[in-house]
Amino acid sequence: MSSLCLQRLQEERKKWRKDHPFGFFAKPTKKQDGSMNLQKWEAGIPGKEGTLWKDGVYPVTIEYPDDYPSKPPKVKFPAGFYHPNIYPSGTVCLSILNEDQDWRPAITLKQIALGIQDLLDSPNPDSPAQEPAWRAFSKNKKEYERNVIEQAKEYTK
Amino acid sequence: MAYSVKLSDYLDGDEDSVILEFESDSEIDELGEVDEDSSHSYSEVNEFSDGPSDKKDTGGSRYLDADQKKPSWGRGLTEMAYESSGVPKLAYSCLTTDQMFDLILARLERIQPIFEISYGDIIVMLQKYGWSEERLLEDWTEDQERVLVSCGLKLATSSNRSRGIQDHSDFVCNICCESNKQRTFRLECGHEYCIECYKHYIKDKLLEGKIISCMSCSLALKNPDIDAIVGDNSSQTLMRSSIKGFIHKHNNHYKWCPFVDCNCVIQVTNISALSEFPRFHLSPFVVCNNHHRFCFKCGLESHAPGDCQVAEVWVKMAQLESANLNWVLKNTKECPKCGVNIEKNGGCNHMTCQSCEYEFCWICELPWEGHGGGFFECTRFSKDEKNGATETKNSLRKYTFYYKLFSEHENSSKLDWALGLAVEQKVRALQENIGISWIETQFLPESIRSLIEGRTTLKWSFPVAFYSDPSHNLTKIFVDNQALLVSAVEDLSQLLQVKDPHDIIARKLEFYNKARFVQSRNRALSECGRDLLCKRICVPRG
Repeated sequence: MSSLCLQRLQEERKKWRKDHPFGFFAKPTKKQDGSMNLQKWEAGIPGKEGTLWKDGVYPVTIEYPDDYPSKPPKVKFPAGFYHPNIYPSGTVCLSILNEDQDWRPAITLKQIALGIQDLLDSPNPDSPAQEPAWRAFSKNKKEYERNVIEQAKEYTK
Repeated sequence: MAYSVKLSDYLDGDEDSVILEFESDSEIDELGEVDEDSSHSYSEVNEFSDGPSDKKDTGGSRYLDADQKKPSWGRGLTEMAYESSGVPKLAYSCLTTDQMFDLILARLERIQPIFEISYGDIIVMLQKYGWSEERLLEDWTEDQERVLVSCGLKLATSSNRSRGIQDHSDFVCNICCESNKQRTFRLECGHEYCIECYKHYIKDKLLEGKIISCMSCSLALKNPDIDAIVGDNSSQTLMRSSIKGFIHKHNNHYKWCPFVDCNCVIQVTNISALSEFPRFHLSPFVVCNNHHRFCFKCGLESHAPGDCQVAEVWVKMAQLESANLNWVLKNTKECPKCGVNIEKNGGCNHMTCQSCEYEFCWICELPWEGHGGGFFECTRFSKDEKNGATETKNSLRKYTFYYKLFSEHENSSKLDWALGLAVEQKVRALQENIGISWIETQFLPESIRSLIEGRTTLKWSFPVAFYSDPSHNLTKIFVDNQALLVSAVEDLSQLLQVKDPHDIIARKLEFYNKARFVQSRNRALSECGRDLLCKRICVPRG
């Protein structure tokens, strides 16, 4: 791991502990020897109040590559997560997490977390990443809503 | 004895109208010189399989001249096609990345007066617009402000912050999170980061040739900013890399050479000619400055004698089949009677084919009758291989057969490229040790090129053979031609192993002759393959 990557991640952790949005959590994982693995984090994204997603806190893993912050981290939900812009593997398809699109080295963990929370209730039907949720979202809203509420119950606060 | 068949006779598709023309041996010897007559003929010259005759002795310099035409036989082919059968010739040139950039600048020169901003900024806008000049001009005439803002060349709201490198005494950079930074950079947006982080960020992006924007928002860095930060003229590197996007957008006119580490760009000036090629089962092959021959239509290496369709079907099949094939070959046997593939997933050796109900022994593949009680061990097993007839029965077997040959020749041509590098060293040794002029040593690289082109043609002749009707006479002639090219190529390949520089010079003529011979065999095989395609004896099926 480059020193730039490590230093930045330590700072990201400091900043997050000092100030993070309500209802969110994020912490680095532990390596097998018990030391902290700053390149892999576990986080929880709460659904926004007043949306279909409100009852859940959705778990994600955030993996930072060695060339972070030049390259964006990879954010994953559990495999099979139901959302039009999340791949079957759980990988999130979001422009700010795409190096060729809107990723900027200055983007912080807080911005990423809030970006994903936004994505939950405002999916982008123009860049579908999985078939079931995308099809339901664009063809059968009732079924989509039912599935989202059902999924929220799996991840209750 | 040799015969040739006129192309015009092929085009009417009537098999019976094939006219066999008998030519004297000496005419064949002239094959290289008389392209007009012979490039559309394939010849069978069994007597010559041990190399061309030495009648060429007097023609040393003559061949040199002919060889110096860069795309030696391919060029002859297209030129002749134009004259005798109306196929338009592909007009192309090979550009270096620098020439390519100059070409883009020349285009920009024409539109620059409309914009009245710097070339660098126009390139930024064009990149944002995917190099579509029309769309950019349209939007520009409608609303300049909006275009500038959307391309990150201007802030949406005016700002009084200064742009450029700033000096501080103690600045904390939010990218690297280090304090005590003295030099920073910011654009009018005010997002300010240390100069080291910016340098790192820019260097990472230079070769991508895309817009480099602020590390926090989409305001674009301009060329002077980039140069000021990195401290040299890096923006030139970025500008030169931007040709990638241009070529991508205009990919019907321009193509990168597909060979590894080759930065040549081929520009075709008469693209209307491209659509004419398939009709004649020809492919628009082009040769870059590094002598890499590839097909301008499909972007694959030269795949003569096959046309683009053969190449496409074959490549697709190879991708689909290879994994499957390995498994099938490893785990199944075909029923000796009906040829269906059978997987044995347990049980005894007494097999009953589910498709034809034939009963046989898994081990010896003979009828079960007569095996008596020997359920687990076959005593009749003998090692004699099955004869070749059953092998070709099964299409999978047949495919494997050709695929193996194809990939063997692929490997050989990879080795030939390595040989080519060794030859370059030899040339240098010749120049330095014996004091021979550069031009006099050119027969070596020419030979290696003939060798590589010969191998490539051989390699792609296997897909053609695979898709051809094996019973047709022309297919048999094609296979004979293959064998002749194989022996010619191997001969030349062996000659190129000679190490002693004096020996090389002494055998110069032999190099010429063998290379010449490979070229003429190559041409003959290519033409024969094309005839197979034109007469629909070879039909690629997916």
